[in-house]
Amino acid sequence: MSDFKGKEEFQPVFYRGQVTRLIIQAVLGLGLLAGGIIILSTRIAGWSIIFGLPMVVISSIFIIYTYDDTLNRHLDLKGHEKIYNEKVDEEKDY
Amino acid sequence: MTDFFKKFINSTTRKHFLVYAILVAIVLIIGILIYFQQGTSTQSALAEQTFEREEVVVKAGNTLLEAFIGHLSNQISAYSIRSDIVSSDPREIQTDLGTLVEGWKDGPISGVILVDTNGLVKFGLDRQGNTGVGTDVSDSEYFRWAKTAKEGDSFVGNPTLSKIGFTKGEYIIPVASPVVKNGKFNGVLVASFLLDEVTTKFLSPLRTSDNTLIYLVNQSGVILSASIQNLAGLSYLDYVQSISGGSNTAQTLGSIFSSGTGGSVVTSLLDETKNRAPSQYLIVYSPISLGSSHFVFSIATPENTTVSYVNPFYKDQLMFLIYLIIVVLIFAIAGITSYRVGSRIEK
Repeated sequence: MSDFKGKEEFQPVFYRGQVTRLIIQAVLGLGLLAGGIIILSTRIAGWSIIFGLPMVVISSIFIIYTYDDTLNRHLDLKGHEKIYNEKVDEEKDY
Repeated sequence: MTDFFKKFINSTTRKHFLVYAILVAIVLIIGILIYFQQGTSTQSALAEQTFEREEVVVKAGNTLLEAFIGHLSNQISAYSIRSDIVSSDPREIQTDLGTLVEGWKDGPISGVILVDTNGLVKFGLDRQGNTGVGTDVSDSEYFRWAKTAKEGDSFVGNPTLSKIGFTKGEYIIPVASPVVKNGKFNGVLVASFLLDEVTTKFLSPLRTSDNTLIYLVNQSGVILSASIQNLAGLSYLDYVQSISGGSNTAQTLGSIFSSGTGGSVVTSLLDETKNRAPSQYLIVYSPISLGSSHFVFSIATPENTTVSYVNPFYKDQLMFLIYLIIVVLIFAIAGITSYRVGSRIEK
């Protein structure tokens, strides 16, 4: 906290294109999950379990990862905003 | 290997994520394996049920056929001792035969004949009005039997190709009773029924599905009657053997036809509705004895018909799997949120 140097040096964790990346990740994860479920539902001997099981597992982990990553960045941004506002308020007092 | 994982886990900044990922993977893998296991058990349970239903149908069909034959034998015996028949009164006989045939107008009795002592048809009537008078049936087994039979006895013959009337050239089964006058053989009264009509009238309504096939086969493997018309009269063993890879099926079927016992088998048959492509069938068979004749009555249901019964169960199982995936994701997301928010508060 002590190394905070003012508004100019504030680095937002969200960056340009973040929303697009998030959408792509979400669509990819959900699409993979839906595809895995469809393959499981066909019950084609052998192939359903060979492709369906890894697709569902990997896509679920990918969805969780995407959520974790997004949440982490969101909370970091909020943290930076809070610290920045506190510092600005302190400077105003002087 | 263990060191590699330890280093990997220690090096990552997302240990909590790894824990959640491993837990999610384990739960989902177990869930999906249970999903497949349930599907397999459901399918085998339904196949078992199909077998049991077919067994019930085969037993019902047997009982029905035996009851029909018994009833017809009694009726022919009763007619053969009537005074009009014994005295061969031409005015009354035609009326009697007409009454008998009219009583079975919906089948499967095709006609009735009265044969004289020389084996020539003296009077006759079939459902279409043909008489067949003068036809020589002296070489038939029922005529040979009747010569020495007692009054009131009845005889059920082997399936034979008809020589008379509209059934000419088709498989019929004769039911005969001797006509005895003053203690001497005076002819034989014979009613016959079409095997195909027996199948249509008594056995086809018992089918467990529209795709279920019904066969009446003799011990040599000749199809006497089948729910597919063009198979009647065919040696099914030769027919199956002529198809590539059909020798195993022919061997299985051959042992069924000659065994003289009932049972069930899953084997490949030719699907007549799909260009004779070999398909798996669940077959239940049972021997039938009609007089001196022995048949195999079999019911064959395509395996894919059984699979179609499973679809509603598959749907329910899939819904449960989707529910499990959603629940797992919700718990993982809730856990990650708690962890992240908790970490932020600590900072």
